[in-house]
Amino acid sequence: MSQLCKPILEVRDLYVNFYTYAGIVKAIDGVSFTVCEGETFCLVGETGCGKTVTSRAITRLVPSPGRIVKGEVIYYTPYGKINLLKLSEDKLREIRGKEIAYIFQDPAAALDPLYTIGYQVGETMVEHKTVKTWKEAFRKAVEVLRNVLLPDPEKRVKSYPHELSGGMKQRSVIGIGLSNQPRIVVADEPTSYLDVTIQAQIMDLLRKLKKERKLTIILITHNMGLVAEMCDRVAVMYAGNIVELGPVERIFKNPLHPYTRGLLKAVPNPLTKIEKLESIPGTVPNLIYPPPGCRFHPRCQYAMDICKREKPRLIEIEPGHYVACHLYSRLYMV
Amino acid sequence: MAEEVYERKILDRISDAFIKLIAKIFDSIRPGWSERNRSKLDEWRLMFYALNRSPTGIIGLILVIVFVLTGIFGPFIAPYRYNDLLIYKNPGYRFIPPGGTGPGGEIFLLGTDDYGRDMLSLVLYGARTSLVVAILVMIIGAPIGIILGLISGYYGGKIDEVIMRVTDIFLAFPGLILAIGFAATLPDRIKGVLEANPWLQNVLLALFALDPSDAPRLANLLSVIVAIVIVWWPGYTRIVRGNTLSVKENVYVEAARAMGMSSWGIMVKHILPNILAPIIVILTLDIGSVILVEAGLSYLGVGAQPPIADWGRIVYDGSRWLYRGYWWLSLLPGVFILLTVLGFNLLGDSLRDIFDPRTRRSIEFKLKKSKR
Repeated sequence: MSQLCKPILEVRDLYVNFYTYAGIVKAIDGVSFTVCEGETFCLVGETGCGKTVTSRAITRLVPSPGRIVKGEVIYYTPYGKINLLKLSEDKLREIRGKEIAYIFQDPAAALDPLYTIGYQVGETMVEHKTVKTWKEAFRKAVEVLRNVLLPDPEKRVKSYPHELSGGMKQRSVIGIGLSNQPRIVVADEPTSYLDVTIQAQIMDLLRKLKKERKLTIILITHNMGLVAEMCDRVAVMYAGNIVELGPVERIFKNPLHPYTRGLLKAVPNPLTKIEKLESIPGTVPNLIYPPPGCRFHPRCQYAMDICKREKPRLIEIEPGHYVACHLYSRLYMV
Repeated sequence: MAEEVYERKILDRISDAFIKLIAKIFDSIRPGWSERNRSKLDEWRLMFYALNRSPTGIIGLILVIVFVLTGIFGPFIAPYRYNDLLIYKNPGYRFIPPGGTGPGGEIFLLGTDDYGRDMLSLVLYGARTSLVVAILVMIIGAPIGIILGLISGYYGGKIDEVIMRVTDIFLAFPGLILAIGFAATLPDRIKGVLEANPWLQNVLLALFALDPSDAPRLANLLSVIVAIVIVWWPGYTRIVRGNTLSVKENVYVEAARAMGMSSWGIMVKHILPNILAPIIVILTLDIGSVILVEAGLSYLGVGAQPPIADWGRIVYDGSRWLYRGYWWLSLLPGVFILLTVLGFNLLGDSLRDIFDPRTRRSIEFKLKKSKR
């Protein structure tokens, strides 16, 4: 995979701070990764580790009082590179929803209760001028909704969000995201509000769309099962840092970072019965006063002196498999 | 669906028929309209059902409808013009009590005043004045307040701070006093504007149903409108800002931003429609207050100048004769002011209950009885 990687999005050294009354929350602390064209890139981690903020920062959608302090987001168009963080708001608006689209996690909240599904699908197309008239937008909306396998789309375009089930709403939200045929879709826990059977359907749908359209998907989730099933490459995040990044099979077969290991141990296996599910002791640290050095060291059973002093950098252990941990930096120190 | 469950009353039949009529009208303009907007029409029907269960709301609605119809058609059905001074024909037309007959044998339902003007006609013309003033204030003032409130709430930060401090300044003045100040100082300026734009003057004359000879007195009326607008918009800004702050936290607003919509588009298409309910309630309540303030200003002498018929002014003119026992001069227009303002307040109050989904559901829940 790594040899064939044709980058489509590159995040370099991203820092995001939230300026709250309690203090400055250093939510994203130097995140870098590259997303290849046509792959499914996963961001995994606990709640509050910065997955969502990272994905929003890509198109500068960090909510107030957050601010992107430093970093670059390079978007590779067919015509050249653009730094999205330096782009004017108007230019960026043309990219949002047309080139890079979002699928939100709570479909019930992501739809405006006052408009029909057809209107909301059409609105995006009208906004980006992919259609000329509203009439055409409504006609296309039916097509879009049929593509996301919404049953009876001719009738459903006239429905209001409250008239649809959770799964149908999520399909509509995906439809809105895909209506302009974006190159990248950022799916932020697209299934966490749905039950397991619908989850499987939605994931099948995403996979199918990905294959059909050569879509690049950035999937944000905390569900390791989903990661194993969907992703090509995984970035494990902890407290605003990427601690491990690599192809999905390497991460699952050979997890290197103690945090990744802990995460994988915390996933129940339906085939083996165990008395107690293992968890990682402690919680995500307060990011106003993050622990010095490696942010994971207070919870790490292998913590050493150096972990408290120095922040580990991502180093490549095997081809395409990176980890940020002093356990390994020692071994590979040159 | 739900319609079987409701026990329908006569009022419900009327409101159903009304909605059907509206649907029919829209259907004839754009075929298939009612089919496309079925959920909306159903919602409207339920709203009317809820309103029909609120006696005060119905009383308010009736009073408001009567006032609006009087305002529109009053000048056409009035037996005399507002400036027909009958005493110049015959001094016997002076101070005819309500129901009394004049020298010519005519019956004056509400009596006549010291110039022999027919009180009924004055009240009818006065309704037009009040209606036009109230509507103009709303048309000019509400959008200013709403737009500033949207901007303030949506952008936040320094813009919000500036707009909010300006509204604070306006709210710090006692409204009526500020309005008196503006109403007293503005007419000269407005007179110049009117003279420069004869078409505007003609439109306004037609709106207020005035004779062209009263054109110079328009400036006073307009200054009242401007004065009330200046005092009025901060209230809207505050309410809209507060509601915007809560609505903009919704994920669909963020989703709209992520879909590349402009800030203005989000405000107009996704925030404003979602806060329309409280705005409509406030508008309804405020029309009543505007009528009251306008009458108050005219009573104090800064508003409409005689012979323009204005309820507040008539009350003032009549009050000079109260001690002589000519009670109807002040009392009758006063009662009309009272009923009109009361009507808008009652309607606004019950609209608040109906638009609030929580109280509305409870009203609907009470409605649900055994199947018909």
